[in-house]
Amino acid sequence: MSRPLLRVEGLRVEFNLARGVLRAVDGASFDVQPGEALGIVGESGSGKTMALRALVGLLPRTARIASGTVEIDGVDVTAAGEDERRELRGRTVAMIFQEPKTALNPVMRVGEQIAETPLVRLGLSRRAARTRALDLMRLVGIPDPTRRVEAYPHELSGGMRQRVMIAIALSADPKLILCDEPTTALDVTIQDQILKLLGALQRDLGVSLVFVSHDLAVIAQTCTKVAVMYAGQVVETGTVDAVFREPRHPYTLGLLRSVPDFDMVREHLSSIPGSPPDLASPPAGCRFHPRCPFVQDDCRGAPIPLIELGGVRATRCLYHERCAEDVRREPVIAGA
Amino acid sequence: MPEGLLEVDGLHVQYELRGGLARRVRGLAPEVLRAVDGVDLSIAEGETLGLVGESGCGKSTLGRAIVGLESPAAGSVRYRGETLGATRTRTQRRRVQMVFQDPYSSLNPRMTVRQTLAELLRAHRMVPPAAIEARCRELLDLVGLGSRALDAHPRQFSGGQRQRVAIARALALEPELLVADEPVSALDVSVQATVLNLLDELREKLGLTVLLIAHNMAVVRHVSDRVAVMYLGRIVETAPTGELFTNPRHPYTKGLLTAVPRLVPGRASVGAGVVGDPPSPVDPPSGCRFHPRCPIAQEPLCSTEDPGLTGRPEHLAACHFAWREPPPAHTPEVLQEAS
Repeated sequence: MSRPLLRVEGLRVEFNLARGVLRAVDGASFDVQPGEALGIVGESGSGKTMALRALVGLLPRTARIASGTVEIDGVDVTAAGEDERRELRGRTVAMIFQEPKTALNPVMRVGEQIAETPLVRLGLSRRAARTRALDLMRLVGIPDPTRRVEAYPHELSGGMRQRVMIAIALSADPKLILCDEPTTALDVTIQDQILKLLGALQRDLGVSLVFVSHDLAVIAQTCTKVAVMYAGQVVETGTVDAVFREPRHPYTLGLLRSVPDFDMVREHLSSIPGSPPDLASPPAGCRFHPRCPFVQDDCRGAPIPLIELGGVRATRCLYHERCAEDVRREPVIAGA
Repeated sequence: MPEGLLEVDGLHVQYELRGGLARRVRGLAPEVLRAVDGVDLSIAEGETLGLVGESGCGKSTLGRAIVGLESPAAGSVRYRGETLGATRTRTQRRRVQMVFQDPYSSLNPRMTVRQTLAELLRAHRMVPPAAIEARCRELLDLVGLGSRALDAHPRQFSGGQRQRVAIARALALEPELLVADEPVSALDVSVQATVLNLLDELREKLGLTVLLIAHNMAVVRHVSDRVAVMYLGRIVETAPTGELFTNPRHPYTKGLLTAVPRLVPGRASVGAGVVGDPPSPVDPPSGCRFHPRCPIAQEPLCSTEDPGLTGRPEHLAACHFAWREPPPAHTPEVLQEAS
């Protein structure tokens, strides 16, 4: 394997609260090869967004990276200064946010926003930057770019605004695009258009994607690799194909079984009992143990490490074989 | 078809847009947003009807008009043959209840669950005053919350628990028809299933009829008996769930189904989905409202003639080509403009 474009090792993100330290991300490790799309899936509070933001130093002021390394294109981000990080953000890495309405500048024409990076960072002339903006707008499928270049964000639909965000993200030819729930605020038809666009960009431009979402189906359609997060930890990793067809962590299994599958109608949806733990005082041992159907005594003791299962597969479950048995009994997704 | 529990007939709901005054000063008529623009819909007793469509298609407004939260500009809502007007009697209001999308804003944050439920029971004289406490407990039990929840405020609950409280509140009035507007879309994935299962369970136990307004097609497929697809203020297709998903007749329904992301890795939508953005309901396209985004639209037919719903009573579709050989697909009008 070539050198990964992104390598995250033992990442810890902490918030200092009055009632103690809250570990939003507790030992997340994953990597992304050039041209690859990694999905990070989890529910709200699982730490997926904080893990993503930590990669580019965009954490809230009250949060900090407590330990771990983040390497992007060979540069150790955690050790880098703010200048170096800003350079990285401007050139190598770009980010797409969930709500383009709040991420875009409301009083600046979208054309200027797309041209800003080429103008400021790439040193293009005003005219060249505008041409670049028009090219990018065409690339992301904005109809009638010569007219839309003069538009303000509020004059565009949600889908168009997200296309503008993607154009901005692409404006400095990044190698890696971090996507934080980029289609959650959109309608299913527009989501489909944006996902197809991101897929095409990844294929045609060879950019790598990290795709954070709570939507398993969105991950299944856009990513090749997935990391499942629960209560601040990565609990399972592997190829999307392997993890979705044969999950090896009871949380992944429960999540897959609780989602209505478009291709397989079930009489009754199963659900995960209980709710995720308070991250300021997570359960001892396996964090999922209070909700786990396969729980044993040793799940309640020492923290469970990630257990390598060969290839890119790993699980934080001592009894992952039980999951495999369960899946053999009843498939989790259609056509498995 | 026999008269359903609820019959919606030629319903129109309109909003006058802001800036109306400025237009009036200039002698222009104010702009009108036709959120629901001529909807006929029938809901049979005991069924779950899924109502789907993109945001802004008017599905929530239709739901609100059925419950009586919007007054229609024209058309009628009939319940067991009785017309429900904009002002409803207490009994009429009681029979049709609503569960809202966001349990974080639909519950009064200053009232305990007991206060919320007791107030309703008292105001509608559902049970004798002495039985209110027992009924509150019973309601919580029904939605799977213990009676310990009685003295809690909404903030002490998780999203899923709040939605259960909201459902208990709707059930307090012993409604026959429950309008659930996106009841799970604000909830976490693992919690959605429990609320969906609860709705299904209650339907069976209490003989409820449910109108489920949702955008998630997989959810609709799992819980509905019948589905109505709405586009730009109108119903464009209705069919039994199985048939709608396997044999959709309207190109919009087909596109909508193709656009759904699937759990099976790599089963990416191969079709075109639906291209372009939904047009503004202030100035909807002429003829068939879907024609600018439609891959099989024919000129001048589709841009001049409104197809209207045709077909069998149980499967209706509003497309000129719903029931005959469709013309070959081409680039929809919205994309032609772009090039």
